[in-house]
Amino acid sequence: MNTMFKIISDQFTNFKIIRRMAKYDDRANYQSHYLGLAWEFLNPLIQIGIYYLVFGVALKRGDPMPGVPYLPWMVMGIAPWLYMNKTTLDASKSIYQQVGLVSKMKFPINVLPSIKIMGNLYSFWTMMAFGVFLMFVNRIWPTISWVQFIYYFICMIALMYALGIFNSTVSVLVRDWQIALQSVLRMLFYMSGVLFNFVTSNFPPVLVRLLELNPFYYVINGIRESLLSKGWVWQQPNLNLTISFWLFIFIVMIFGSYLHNKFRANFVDLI
Amino acid sequence: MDNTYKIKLENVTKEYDLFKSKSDKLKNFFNIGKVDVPHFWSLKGVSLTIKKGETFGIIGVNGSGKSTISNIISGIIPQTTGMVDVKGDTSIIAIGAGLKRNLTGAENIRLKGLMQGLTIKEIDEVRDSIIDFADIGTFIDQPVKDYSSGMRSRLGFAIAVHINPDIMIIDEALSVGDDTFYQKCVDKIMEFKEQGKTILFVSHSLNQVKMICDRVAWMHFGELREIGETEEVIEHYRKFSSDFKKKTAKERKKYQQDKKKEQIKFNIDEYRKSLIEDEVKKGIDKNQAEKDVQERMYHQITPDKMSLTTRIVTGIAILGLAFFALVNISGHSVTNSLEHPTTLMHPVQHKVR
Repeated sequence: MNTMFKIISDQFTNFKIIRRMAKYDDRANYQSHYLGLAWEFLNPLIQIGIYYLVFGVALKRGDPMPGVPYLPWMVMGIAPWLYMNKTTLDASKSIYQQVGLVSKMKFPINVLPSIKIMGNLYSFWTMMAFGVFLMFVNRIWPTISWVQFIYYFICMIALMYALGIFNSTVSVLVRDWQIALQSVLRMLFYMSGVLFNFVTSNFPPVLVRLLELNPFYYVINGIRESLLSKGWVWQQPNLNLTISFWLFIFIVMIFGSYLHNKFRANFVDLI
Repeated sequence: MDNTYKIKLENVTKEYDLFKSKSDKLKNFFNIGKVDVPHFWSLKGVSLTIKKGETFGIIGVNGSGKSTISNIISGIIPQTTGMVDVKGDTSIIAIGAGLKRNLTGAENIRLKGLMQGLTIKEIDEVRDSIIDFADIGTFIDQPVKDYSSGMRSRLGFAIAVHINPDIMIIDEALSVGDDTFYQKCVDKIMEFKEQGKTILFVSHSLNQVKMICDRVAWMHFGELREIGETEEVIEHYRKFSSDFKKKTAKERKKYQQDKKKEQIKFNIDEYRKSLIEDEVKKGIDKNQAEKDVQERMYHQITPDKMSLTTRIVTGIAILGLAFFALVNISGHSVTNSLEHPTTLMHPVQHKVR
């Protein structure tokens, strides 16, 4: 457990390095592209367009939440999803990619996932701003419920880091992990209520309650509920889910930091 | 306590596992079964102190643990047991140089600078002087994979000296450059020396060591064989080398193999006992000695296994997660589930909310 606290505190002491490297990463990634950083936003916008046509227009089946049109509802969910999807994959590659460099210098390896978490935030904020813009277009105004967004944002970062430290360590040891993770995430996309609200769907109630346990759903649904003013953290089922969510984070974090610490010295030899 | 030292190692050991196959490695990783692999002790208990402003050389034959020591001091790899106390920032220069091959030289300068905690502004300030020092001119915008090995190591060296470390560790990095560059490096090292910085110099070349270092340690198959004034240690080392060369090839091979065997046989518990005995001989109470040695050897080491408390807390967390997950799936309330746990197996089939 001490290892876990040590790793968490490392993130805060090295915050400046994380921020600078995240900035640099972003620029370096798109250096050779003509449209540069614009791709970070064009890509998700194209995706949103397609999903809107298919699920919002072609398969139109009413408002997913009472009083909220489909488009703002979807963008509010797809923005955190796209962020979490990309960050989970990037973070799991982070150590593997940099191992040649960090094995030759003194560098806190456990901040590598954080750099990806930080770097991807730029496009997340743009997407969220787009979602809020759509809300205003549809005359949904901010309420006090928005403060919950801060809490869910922290949840999201915690989830990303816990998965990041775990996956990045395991990916170094087992290369197949990366591919498996991609498949799992593709499946989770449909299971996390990004495109349709399974709570109001015709799914059997037991299945709905099982799907609710997915930590990605917890974050996506939480961000939606807080920004669209549709529910509070302490209301059921959110309370059950909150406890499960944090226990899940804790367990992944414990195992992640334990494995990371155990194999830190051998990362170079293991590839 | 004496505060003048910059680097202090006490009874440092380093163990490597010699896995035969990748599956053994994985088994060890997932803690499945006990894989009995031979252990190789690259360091068998090394203690040394390096003072502030000193230029310290490490010599020894191949595989004697020189690089292991420099990596441990620079914080790249953790020691297996023992205390390591380094005061200040270190910067290590090794042959591989640690550059990213598909980035350009300029990008590498920026990336390495950022990783060492410099700001973009600070990097821009030293950029020109790095390029000038490395003497790579227009190649700076080419990917590093197109560089010659000399250019690569020059760039690596140039970056490392320009990020202004307190302690500089040079691991055989001077052996690649040509004479002009070598002279430049020596000038730079002398400059560092005058500024009162601490330098750790690992090399095969006795002449280089003789020229630069104040004190020298001679590593010999994982042990510190001798430490002292440069002239003296180098003379002894030279004598050993020339004696060794006079032996027949067979004898030489046998000697090396015996030494390697000792490094495999080395037992950490026996080493601990011998340390305790040494303390007792000094007139320290046995219990106290045991405590001291334990502290010295394991205080800085994060244990390989999870501690009991961690296991218990993790266990409770897993049970808690299972319970709350079941409560949510079954659709009963938490209090109801606590009173009648069996209902968890009979989920409510209709919507509860």
